[in-house]
Amino acid sequence: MPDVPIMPQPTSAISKEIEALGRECESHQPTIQAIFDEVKRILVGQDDMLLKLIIGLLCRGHILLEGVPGLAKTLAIKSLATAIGADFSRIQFTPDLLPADIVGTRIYDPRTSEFSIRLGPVFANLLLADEINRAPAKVQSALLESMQEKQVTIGDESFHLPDPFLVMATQNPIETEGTYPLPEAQLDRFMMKVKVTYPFRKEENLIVDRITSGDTIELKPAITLDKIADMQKVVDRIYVDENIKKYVLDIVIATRQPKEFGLDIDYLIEYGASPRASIYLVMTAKAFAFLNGRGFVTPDDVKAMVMDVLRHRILLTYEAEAEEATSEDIVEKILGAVYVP
Amino acid sequence: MFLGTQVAHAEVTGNVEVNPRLVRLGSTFEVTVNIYSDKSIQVINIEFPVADGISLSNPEVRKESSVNRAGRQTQYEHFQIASYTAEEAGMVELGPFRVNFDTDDLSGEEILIDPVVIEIYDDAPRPASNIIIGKTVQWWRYLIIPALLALLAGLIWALIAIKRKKQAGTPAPVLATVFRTLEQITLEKINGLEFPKADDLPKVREYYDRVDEILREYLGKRFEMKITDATSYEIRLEFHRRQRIESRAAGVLKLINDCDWVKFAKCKPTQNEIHDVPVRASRTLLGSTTESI
Repeated sequence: MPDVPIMPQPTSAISKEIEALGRECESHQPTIQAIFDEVKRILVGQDDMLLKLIIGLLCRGHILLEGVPGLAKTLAIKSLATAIGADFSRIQFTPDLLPADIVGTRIYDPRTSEFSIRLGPVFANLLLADEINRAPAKVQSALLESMQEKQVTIGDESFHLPDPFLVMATQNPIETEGTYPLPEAQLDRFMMKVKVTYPFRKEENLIVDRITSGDTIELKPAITLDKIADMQKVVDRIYVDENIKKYVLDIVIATRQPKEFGLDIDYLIEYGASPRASIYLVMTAKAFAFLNGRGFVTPDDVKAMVMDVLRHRILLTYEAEAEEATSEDIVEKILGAVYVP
Repeated sequence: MFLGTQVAHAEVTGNVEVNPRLVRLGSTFEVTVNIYSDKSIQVINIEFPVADGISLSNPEVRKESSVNRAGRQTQYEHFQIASYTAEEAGMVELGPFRVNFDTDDLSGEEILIDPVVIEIYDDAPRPASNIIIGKTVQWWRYLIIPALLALLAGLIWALIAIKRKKQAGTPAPVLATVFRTLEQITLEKINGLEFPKADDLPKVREYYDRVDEILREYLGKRFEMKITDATSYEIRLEFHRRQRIESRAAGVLKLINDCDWVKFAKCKPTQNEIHDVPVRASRTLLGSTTESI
């Protein structure tokens, strides 16, 4: 990226509230940098994926990672969990998985003649649901319910999930045979769908060197979970102006009524994005502004997050498939038509 | 061309043949009179007529002996041939032909054969004086058409030149509107905005919104950029990519940045700062500053 600041200092005095927030954001930059540095000890490249995972963490939003096998999706999540000192568990989704394998179950103890509860792997700060589309719908729903409610009921007892609780699911876009694609309603619960791409040549060279050297890198927690909670509170307070909210709403509404924005793409969209899209777009934009050390959101923050927030929320028509149009194409068109404040 | 008669016990008919029917002026042609009868007759005389334009060139008609053609209805045939000379071109009617004959029982019988029409044509060559044979065309005649075209082109060019000269000579009409630069128009728009009071925050935001809009429109037009879907950062990036930032653009970008702070970051400019906006715009757009992004 060229050295061009997103928003240079103005000539007039900055609002004290915003200035204070900006200072707070700045004060957390070393923490963020520490997380990055620790994870980057083992993870080569994939900076964007790591950034989005941290944004998910700051916004308490679940993330769906999509990419072909071998792109370090699992490694990234596992490393992040270690770097922030979080409990981590991993579930490999398979066709024979049962809901009890995720949330837990009651087990009969013959010695005491009582049922005891064994909590499932869902009770962790960071849960990696690997290849979520390989398990049948009932298992997916069990996980997605706990994602939404942040609690699990086993028998007649309810258990709160730990805070932070973040599901990072992965799915493989190829080898779709024998998979159970997530229904749109369940996809909507993921704050972002991040597409993981291949590393650059230079990065891949470094990956080869690291893996084949035989050295094992042990990651250590760079921060504690308290710090994450502190940062989440700062992110919540990031200022979002009405202009920005209007911009966000314009973008999301354009996915439902593109004609209002002079776009002739009605026939490509079956269903537009839900109100969750507006909520998550504002939340992620706030987190992005926070990561840039700003106490307020700019249209650039919205633009930076819009693709990951919207790509899985636009249901395309058969015509779109016939024209090989993707939801990304639709979002690009919308960004080109909506007036930036 | 038959005119027959029933005479006692004999039936007599006849016809006339002209060969050739189409006759060249000055040439000789033959007229044959054929007489047919079912019984033997004695042809006494065939009268060959004369007409204007032709003359009987052989008054001694050749008489042929009669021929008995057994097996046909006409058993007996007589014919006589006379030669004529065509003397005038045109259509000539020759006849009728009168034939006198005797039968075995009767004498002094007569039949008339219809006249024939003969066309005499004149194919004599025209006088040599009317025909141009191998006449040489003078070389300069080939130049007539190009010369005419050149003359026409010269005429048109001359007319245009005269018209232009006339136009150049006349003073330019005074235009109703005075030409203004894009910078002047932009500045006029900013100057046309009403200053808000510094404590009226919604009005201040509205003012900065409008200034931002006007300046973006200016950048879009002056530097041929698509502005409506670009953020201020993207505009700065674009200028950075172009690597040649005019001082004007740099100043405008600074103003836009200030507008962004008011629009997005609750920045509250003072009254003096608000009044300074058109002054800064004027300095940037009309003057030359050394500001950088």
